[in-house]
Parts: sequence; structure tokens; C-alpha cells
Amino acid sequence: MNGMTIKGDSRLAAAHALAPPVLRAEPPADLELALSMVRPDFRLDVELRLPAASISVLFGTSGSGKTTLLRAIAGLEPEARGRVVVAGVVWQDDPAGVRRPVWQRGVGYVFQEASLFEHLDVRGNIEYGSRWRKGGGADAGAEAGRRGFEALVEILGIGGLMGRRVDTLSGGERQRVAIARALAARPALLLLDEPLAALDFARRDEIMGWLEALRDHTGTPMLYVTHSLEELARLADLAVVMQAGRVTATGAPEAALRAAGLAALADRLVRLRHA
Amino acid sequence: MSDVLLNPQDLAAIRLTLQLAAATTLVLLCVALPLAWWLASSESRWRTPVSALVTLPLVLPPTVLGFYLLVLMGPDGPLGRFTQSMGWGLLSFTFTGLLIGSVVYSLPFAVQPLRDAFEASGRRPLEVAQTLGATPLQAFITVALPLARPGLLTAAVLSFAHTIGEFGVVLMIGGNIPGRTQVVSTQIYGHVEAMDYGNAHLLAALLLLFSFVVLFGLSLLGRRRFRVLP
Repeated sequence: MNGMTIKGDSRLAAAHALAPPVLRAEPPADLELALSMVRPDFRLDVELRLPAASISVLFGTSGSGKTTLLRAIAGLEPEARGRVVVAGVVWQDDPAGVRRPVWQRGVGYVFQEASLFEHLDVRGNIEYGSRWRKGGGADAGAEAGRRGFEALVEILGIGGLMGRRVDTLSGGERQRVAIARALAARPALLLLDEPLAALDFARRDEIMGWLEALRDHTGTPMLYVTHSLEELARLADLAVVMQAGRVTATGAPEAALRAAGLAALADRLVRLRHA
Repeated sequence: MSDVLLNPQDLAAIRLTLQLAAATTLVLLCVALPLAWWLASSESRWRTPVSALVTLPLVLPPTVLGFYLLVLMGPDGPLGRFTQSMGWGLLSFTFTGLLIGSVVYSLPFAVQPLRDAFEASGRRPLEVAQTLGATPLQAFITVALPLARPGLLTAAVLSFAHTIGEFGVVLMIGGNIPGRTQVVSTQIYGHVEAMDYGNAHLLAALLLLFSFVVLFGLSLLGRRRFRVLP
């Protein structure tokens, strides 16, 4: 961790270049959700208002609807109905007939498997993210874009990988490139769907370090899906507990677990923190 | 040297065969790309019947296919009536007629590799591209197509080679008219009918060699592709 504090200053400077000026000028972004979706074997019914916590963790067992909720926010679930407002921008409001398609929501999405584009190298993958959405503000020209790109590469420590083919990367490197690609599109909200699930213990620890660096140095709020208590303990500024398609508690991680009737997990969380 | 060995009629047949194969491949890629994409990604209930229909030329005798196309293009067929009313005349026994027949006949050879390629890369890369701000069309062009490149190559080579090798459909629709609809395979048939085994041998050997080289080249390409993977 020492290395991180020493490098902290350059990261901080880099992060300032990264955050789109428009976002920094605005009051903290918050997230307003009212989504429901009915499938034969599953029902999602979520109403949620989240402050601009840097990392909100959606926590729950598999099948509790975390991934479906994340996909619905991104617009990837056409059957999901309701309202999605991110940082004051209405992405979806079905009663009012508003529904932005996926590509017009300012969303970044990191999938469980990195899902890098195999036909592009690392640089090509990251640049793909900044290719379609133009700038954060009127002043954000090529220069700002280039600085943002460099900052991202710096924060995630992938400078040495730029010319590599993606099928030569390790699992941890792939996931870092995927995160950089998602952020290169300057999202108003970064969605991460169990980004560490496919990695071994050491890699997980390493990526969590990178995510903490991102949290500290960019203004991009993150919604992070996991069923791992360890990730909840380490990353969550705010916990959202999901059970059977519903949100059963929101708040500080330990309190939220207790409020959701998961006292045993709350005790383990406390032990994890002290370990 | 070929001037000595091949008579002008054989040369004309070879030229026509190559023209037909090239044109067929071009048209087929335009038709098969959207069709294969739809078959790979649609959830419509029409998908299965359309898929069977596209595969039909694989199992039907070429004469059956040729016969129906001939009826369709003939003076009383719907396509024939249409082309006549447009002042284009009849398509049967013309190059365009041959082209239509070849496209239908080789359709599964173009659609299947493309469909396999699209299905292999799946929906995820397109979802990623859309979350990054690409419209579905932009995502298709910049992600789905490049990822399907091996399938695209296979589809093009197979369409070309299969068209070179067709016989039944060409005979039914084209009628083996020298210089207009006579291709190598029908010319071989003509040579054999005329007991001209020497020229038949020559053209047959040419086709054999060509087909082998094409398939050999394809499998070489395939091997190289797999070798690059870790």
C-alpha cells in the first residue's frame, strides 16, 4: 500500500485531468431508481435513491436480481419498466414515455468476464471507449481527451500493456483494461458486475487496490455488484442488500446487513475488517 | 501454352465460370451477411423455418432447384412476368439467370460460416460496444464484422468454389450455350458426350486441381488462426 501513497500525488493530478469539467462543476450526482420487471421465474421490483457515494455495493446471493438490476439501469433489459435518473438526467421514465437507448445513456459497464474486443489491441480497446461519445463539455477537445486518456492509463497502471494483443493478457490485466475502456467513455455512472469473480485471490486484492485509487481520484460514482463479503467490506461506502428481486436494506455495510436480517454475515463482516 | 492446349470454346467457358463465381460471391456476401446476422441473433418464430429454407439447396438435387427456378423465370412464372413487364425480357438462358440460380444454390455455403461466426462471438461484444456509446449499426460494423472475419473469409471462398463446381442448376437454367451460359462443368459434359476425352480430361484436371488448392488453402488459413491462440 505504501507504493500507492507515494504515487498518490501524480495520480491525483492525473485524476483531475480525467474528471469531465461539467461533472466537477455540478452538485454531487445521485441516482434515482424505480424499476420493475416480471419474468416467469423471477420478479424484480426495486425502488432506490442513492446519494453520490463513491462506491455503492449491491450485495446479495446469486439469483437475487443484482445483475438484472444493473443491466436494466444500463438499458440492456428491454422489458424493465420504470424510472432511471442519474445525476439529474432522465435516462428512462416509462410513464412519461422517455427511454434513452443504451448508447445514449452515459453509462460505463464492466462485465464479469472482461469481454475485451479480441480484434483490437489494448490501446484500440480503450480508445474504442472514447470514440463515440464526444467530450464531457463544450471545451473538452482533443487535448482534454488525450489528457484524460493518459490519466486513466496512469491510474490503472496499464501503460506497459498498450500495444499488447488482448489474448496475451492475464485475467487481472484484462479486467483493468476493461475498466479503463469503460471510463474512457466518460460515464456519469460506472456499473461493475462482479468484476473480480473470475480472478484468483491475489488478483482480486490487486484490482480492489486499483478501484480504491479510482474512487479516490475520479468523481465517477460506481455501482458495484458482488456476493463477496470481502469485497463489500473493503469497497463499500454504501451497501444495498438485495434479496429475491427486492432491496431489503440500504446503508452502511454492517447496519444494512443487520437491517436485512443477516446478522451472521454482519458479524463476519466485522471480523473481516479487524483481520 | 494454354492456347495450344485449350481451344477457344474451353477458354470462353473458363472465363465465364470465373465471372459467374466472382459475381455470385459478391452478391452472396451482400445477401448472406444480413441473413446470417438475423438467423444468429433473432428470437423471431420465423427463424427456424427460414433457417431450414436457407439450408434446402444443400440437400435438394440441383435439377429440382433448377427446374423451379426455370419455371419461376419462364414466360408464365411470376419472376418472368415481372422481368418482361419491365422490358428486360426473360432471364432463363442468360448470365443473370445463371447468377440468380448460383446465388440460391450456394446460399447455405455463405450463410452457415457467417452464422457460426456471429453465434460464436455472441451478443456480449455488441452490448459492450453499445454501453460505450456505439449505435447498433456502428457496433455491428466495428465489432461484429471484424470478429466474424474468419467466417467471412470461409463464406467467400466456399461460395466461389461451390459456384465453380455447380452443374445441374447451370444446365437447367443456362442450357449450355457456348460463350453465354456454357461453364467449365457443362463443357466437360459436352466433351464427354462428344467422346472428346482428351479435352474432358484437361478441364476435369483443372477443376480438380483448383478445388484441392482452395480447400488446402482454407485449412492452412484455419491452422494459422488456431496457432496464434494461446
